[in-house]
Amino acid sequence: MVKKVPIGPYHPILEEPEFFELHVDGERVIDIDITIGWSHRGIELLSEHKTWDQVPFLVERVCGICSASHPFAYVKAVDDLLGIEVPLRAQYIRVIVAELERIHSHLLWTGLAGHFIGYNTVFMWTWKYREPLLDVIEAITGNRNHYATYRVGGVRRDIPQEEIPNTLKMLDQLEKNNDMLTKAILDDPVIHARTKGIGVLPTDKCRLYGALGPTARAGGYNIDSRRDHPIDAYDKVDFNVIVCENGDVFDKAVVRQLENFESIKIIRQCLKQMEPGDICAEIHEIPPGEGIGVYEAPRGEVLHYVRSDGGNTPLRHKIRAPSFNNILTNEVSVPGSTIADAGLITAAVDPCYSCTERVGVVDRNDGGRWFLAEGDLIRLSQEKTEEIRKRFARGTEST
Amino acid sequence: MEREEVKQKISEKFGDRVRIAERSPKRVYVYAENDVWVDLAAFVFNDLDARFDTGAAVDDKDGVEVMFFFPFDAEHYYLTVKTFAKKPKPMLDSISNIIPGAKWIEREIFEMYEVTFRNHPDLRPVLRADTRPVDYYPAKREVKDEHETARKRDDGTERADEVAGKPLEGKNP
Amino acid sequence: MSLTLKALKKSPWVFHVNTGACNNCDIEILDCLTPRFDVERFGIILVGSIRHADVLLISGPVTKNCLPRIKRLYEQAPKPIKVVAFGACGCKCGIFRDGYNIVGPIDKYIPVDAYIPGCPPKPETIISGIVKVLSAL
Repeated sequence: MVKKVPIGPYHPILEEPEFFELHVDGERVIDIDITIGWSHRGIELLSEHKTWDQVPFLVERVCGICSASHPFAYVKAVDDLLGIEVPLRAQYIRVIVAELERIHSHLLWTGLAGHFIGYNTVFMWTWKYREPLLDVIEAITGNRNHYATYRVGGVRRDIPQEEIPNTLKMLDQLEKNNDMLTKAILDDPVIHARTKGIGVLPTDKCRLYGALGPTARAGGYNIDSRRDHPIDAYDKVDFNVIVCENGDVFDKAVVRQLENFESIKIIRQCLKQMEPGDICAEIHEIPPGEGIGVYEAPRGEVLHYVRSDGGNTPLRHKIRAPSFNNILTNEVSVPGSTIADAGLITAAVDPCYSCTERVGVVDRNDGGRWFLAEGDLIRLSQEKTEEIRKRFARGTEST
Repeated sequence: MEREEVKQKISEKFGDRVRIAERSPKRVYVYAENDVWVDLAAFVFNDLDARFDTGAAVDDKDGVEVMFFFPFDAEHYYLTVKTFAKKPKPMLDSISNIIPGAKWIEREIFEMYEVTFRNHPDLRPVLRADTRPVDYYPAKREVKDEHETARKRDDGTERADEVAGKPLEGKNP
Repeated sequence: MSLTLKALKKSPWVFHVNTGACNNCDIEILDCLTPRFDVERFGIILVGSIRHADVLLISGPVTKNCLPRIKRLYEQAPKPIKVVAFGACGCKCGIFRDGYNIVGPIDKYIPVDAYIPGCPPKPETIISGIVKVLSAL
């Protein structure tokens, strides 16, 4: 007998609302129905009433975690429309702020995933290591999260010379902490048992569904916009692209942890290669035309399309966040898993919409419904981890 | 596949039903007529081995311009496939049966601009609030001029109050 | 014993709701629980159910989808409850004021006791705001 289990729209683990309806048979999930739209604020239509310089402030607030990605892609779209290259120092500053944000976003995800599995220590420690990083970001840009750094033609604020030694010292300490975290998480046998083989997204499906970012790279699909469509200073620095093979939740965590090291490498190179100079080019008007701006955000590739008719404001501004493509891939990775794992799999694509509140079970045959208490999904997931841990302790499971 | 080779193959296959424009070394735009549009997109995705990214739509007074973006990662450029669906009642064929990743973006274009995609497996609105009226397409030119974003800003305190609302009287028990 | 200490000893339980915000305010709330700010030593914890809550923290400009659910949540909350509107979006819709899917700040629908402005408010501001709400009890 097939039952339907709705998850959402408010759920304790994540911040934004999202609604999944699982069709289950016993414990196994057969099918999933996804509904989004609780956070739809009509930003694309609001852009048409803001001038070209006011739009970065609006699009920063599309998402608070990846809040440098959207303005970066937007200013690259306008640069593409104008056909210009911004001054060199501005290019390096843009990349530095963007990579600092990438580390903060990956550490945030690791903490939330740890809390979901039941490892609250991982949550507390990861977020503790994030704090010095946020302090450096505040010293450089002025705010912990919405940076207001990007501007058509360059950047708004320069990096003061006296902040650079602090930044380098923070990066050294962060590298050691990340190393310790990576080893602790990736060598733990309970985490292996809990995340390996769960929520697999095979490589051919990655291509058909347009998966992006770590979700795609974990499945063996080798795409990275920093290398394939390099913008600004990305073609002047060296870094590796991390690709794994299996496409399960464990690989998604591996990709994110190892990318932190690459980001630290990029920031160090940028700080070394940066020369004094202009930080903004003079732009007087935007002629008619269209432009596409692409940037690799922590969750995948962000695409902005801008169309101008010569006026003060954009004629059309299309924003496509990577989670739009990635959440759709849950159709492939969730069926076949248990209810306790379904929440973990949907969180593993790092959705920039999230869900909280309760899980309800609907019996399709007689239409009656009863609601489990809130937070039950986390409880189910944490109970499963406890059970696995006990099996290891008893010695009935080999590593 | 390199840019010149791609342009040549498309011209060979579709002849004068398409028009190719290269704006810069990294951006190529192909304009197709409505009847070859799905064949062209499927050709670019399957035979030329591009990656499917997403789609967009721009509203004009005669019709809706719909486009899909196909990046060629190894060669570092984007190929955009465009078509123009004429009003009233713009209609196009759906590509979701070939590329499942296009399901949601086609639903969004339908919800915002009223472009119907034939043969789509599940054409219902994707971002719609359940409290919104049934035939309301927010991004159409005709509709935009009527709702709140088009109102001018400096109208005085009455209008600001009307949008931001007066707080409720009374306190919590 | 000072008033603040008495207020903090009450150990309020907080329930947090996001009505379409950009996530940033929610991250800052979770930041308050982490070792640097650590509000758990005052007894403030984030609960998973509205029925256990003393303070209802609402962030985000209210979208049309979320409105009926917020009203239902408020009705289910056990009284007495304090409602705190959080962030620039919670106070007056912020930068999304003219959006067609936004039905206005939360104080048009349920009575609000305190406002914490900022985009996003820093954790120090949040703690100070919660303490002020409680000292007014």
